[in-house]
Amino acid sequence: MRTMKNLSAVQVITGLTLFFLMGFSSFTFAQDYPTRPITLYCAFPAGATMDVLTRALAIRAEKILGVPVVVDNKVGALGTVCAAILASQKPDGYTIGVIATGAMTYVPLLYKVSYKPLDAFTPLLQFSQFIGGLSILNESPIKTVYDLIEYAKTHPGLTFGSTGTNGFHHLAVELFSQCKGLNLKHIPYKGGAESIPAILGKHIDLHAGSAHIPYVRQGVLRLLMNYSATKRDPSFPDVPTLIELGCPDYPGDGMMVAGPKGLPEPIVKKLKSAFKAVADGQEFQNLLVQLNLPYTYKDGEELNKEAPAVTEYYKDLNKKLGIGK
Amino acid sequence: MDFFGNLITGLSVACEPYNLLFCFLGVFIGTLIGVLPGLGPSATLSILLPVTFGMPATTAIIMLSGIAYGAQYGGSTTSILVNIPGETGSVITCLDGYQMARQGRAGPALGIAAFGSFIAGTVGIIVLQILAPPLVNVALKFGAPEYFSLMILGLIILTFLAEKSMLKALMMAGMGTFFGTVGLDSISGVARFTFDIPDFFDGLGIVPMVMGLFGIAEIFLNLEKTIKTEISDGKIGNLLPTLKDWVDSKWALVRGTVIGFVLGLLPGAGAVLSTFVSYAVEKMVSKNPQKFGHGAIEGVAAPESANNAAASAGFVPMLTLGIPVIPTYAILLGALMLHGITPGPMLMKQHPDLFWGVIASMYVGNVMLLVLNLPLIGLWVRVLRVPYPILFPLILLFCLIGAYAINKSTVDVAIMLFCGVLGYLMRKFEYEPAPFIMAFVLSPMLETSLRRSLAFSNGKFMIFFTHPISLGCLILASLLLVTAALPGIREKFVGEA
Repeated sequence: MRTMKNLSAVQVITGLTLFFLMGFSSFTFAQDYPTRPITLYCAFPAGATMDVLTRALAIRAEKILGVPVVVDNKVGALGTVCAAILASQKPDGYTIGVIATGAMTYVPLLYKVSYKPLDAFTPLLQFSQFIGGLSILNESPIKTVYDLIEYAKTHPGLTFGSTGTNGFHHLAVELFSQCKGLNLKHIPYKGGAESIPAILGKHIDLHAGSAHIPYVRQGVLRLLMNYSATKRDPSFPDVPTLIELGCPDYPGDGMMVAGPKGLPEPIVKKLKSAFKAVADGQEFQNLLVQLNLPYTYKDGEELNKEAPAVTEYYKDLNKKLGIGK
Repeated sequence: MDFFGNLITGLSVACEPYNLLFCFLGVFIGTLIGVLPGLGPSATLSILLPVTFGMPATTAIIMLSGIAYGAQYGGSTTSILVNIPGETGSVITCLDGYQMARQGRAGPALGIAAFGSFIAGTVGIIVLQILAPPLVNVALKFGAPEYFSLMILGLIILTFLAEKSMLKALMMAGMGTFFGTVGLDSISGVARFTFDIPDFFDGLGIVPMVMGLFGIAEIFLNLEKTIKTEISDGKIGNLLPTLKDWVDSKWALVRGTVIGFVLGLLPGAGAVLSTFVSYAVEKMVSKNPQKFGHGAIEGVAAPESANNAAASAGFVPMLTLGIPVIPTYAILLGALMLHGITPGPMLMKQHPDLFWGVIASMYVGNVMLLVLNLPLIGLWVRVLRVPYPILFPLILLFCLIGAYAINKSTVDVAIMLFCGVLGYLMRKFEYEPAPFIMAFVLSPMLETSLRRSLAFSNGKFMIFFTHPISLGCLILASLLLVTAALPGIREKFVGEA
């Protein structure tokens, strides 16, 4: 009996020691980082464009970092569920996430969030951004956005479907409609899976979203205008942007890799260089082209610096549109 | 003819040894995850997606589709054996499947589910192959008002599931609709009934609710009984459906397949809708409606063939338009894009190898599923021989792990336990959980289509009467209600409880 008791005491001590050693190792030897699998949260559902990109980043980052990078989808509430979870994690470099830059800027202006938007994350880099397009059925007599403006002036109440109320697709088209003095009626859908059938089935007149590309390429839909875009899409050089039409634009979300606030500098460096290498790589670039997404690299520092100004800009726009908390 | 030419193209692709292997892997994994509570096909597909990067696109899609329709087979197993639906498509299978198992007829129940799935799945593919493009155009005719009225009709049909009081079933449907409003309102983004719990923002999880209402409640109920009631007392009976079972269920299979295929084309809740609509139809046309809910084999055959036909039908909008009808197919679309293939109207012309190869692989996969599942029946039935004191704690454990595993969230576990208690009370007071859970599933679509319709019509309700399909659904729904309200007529249809 005695020996057994002693044994268990020894075991307990050894166990505890090992436990603490393991617990501390990640702090004390940041230069050895990473030594265990990294969890990469994704704010978008499995199968979504962002999820596809996140997984493409993960597989290649794995090879550079030398440890598994495990994608974990935390979906919901316009990405704030994922952002909130990410913000609450230990900044040890083993939990990072792919979230929309809007989680720091405009989403908290519209919805209550549990984190401090400007002081919750360590942005690492932005690798792309959402661009929206306004499209119409190809068979329609309306061929350009100018045709549309003319037609809509005499035909108030044309409907446009978007991927959700207060999303940038909705708000950008609202700005367009205000700026040109049109009366377009907004019909919200839940993502492209619902809004595309609605336009194909002629339930709505116009489609505002980013799921239109394959349909435009196959000649079913016609792209009239891009918004949330700084310049024309090289794949559709004839399609004007909202800014070109002399209207204010609602900036779309960027897609970034970020960690919780307070990631140690050496870890930030390692992660930045790894993900930058992946994003610059030919395979990832090809994927972006295929998904018709722009490569808009921005460093984490830059994202952090511009966030307060961007937030202010959104506040003004929201006031103009009469929305927000 | 085109049909055979395409079929031969497809089969030659599907029967390449490499593709055969991955087709088998897919349906095998699908069966497994269908049986396990919690880990659904969506989660599995997204985990396996990166694995397919190294494969040719066709092989990858063949395997991933195999998982998607394979899970439909597996989902019914737990419904029948332990009253826990593997996914929403097999909730209705519980009603009679579990009763059959308790009467020692688990074998025929599992057998008819497997054959029904096979027949419906295969017929579904044939129809898909011949009619894919015109059918899609029909599905596109469904706008917001049509969806709304269809959902209303669905909710009224739900009450026909009731074994006893239709009024109670309607009340359950109302409560389910209410539970479905929890979360961010999908039109304006306002948080409703969330109590600031982030896990509630996207609504209550369907899997923990189903596991609670059915599985956990069943365990609670059985706690009251003394141990002597072993489910089948060793008398397992036939492993396969008898000739009489076949005769009883042949029309149920046919009707289930048709209903499943038609409703499965509609993006959204079509697959789920088809299971209870087909069940209700069987109950209405049956000469002995009173045996439903007490182990009627038609009650298993109809929903099982419906959900598999719906799974085939769902490929129509996906492959021809690039529109996913259920989240699982959204991941398949993601996989297509990752492999450099643009889903959409031109897919059939640009990649005939892939299109027909995947379709042909579904024939092959369905045969594999049947071969795989029939021998398993003997094994599953033996599970029921495990005495309650061992089986029940195990079920509880699997449910707990399953509920936690979906989102790694303890809130889901709490939801499951809460629903367990709720389900127990419902059973005690003779309220049925099936209308509740079905209404819960339909609720978000009902609401968004109502609000979207009113957005179109500037708030005028006339829109539901000016659209012909919508009007038809509403007329049918009111006829059903009148039938239900007039005593005598309902008895004729549903019988005395």
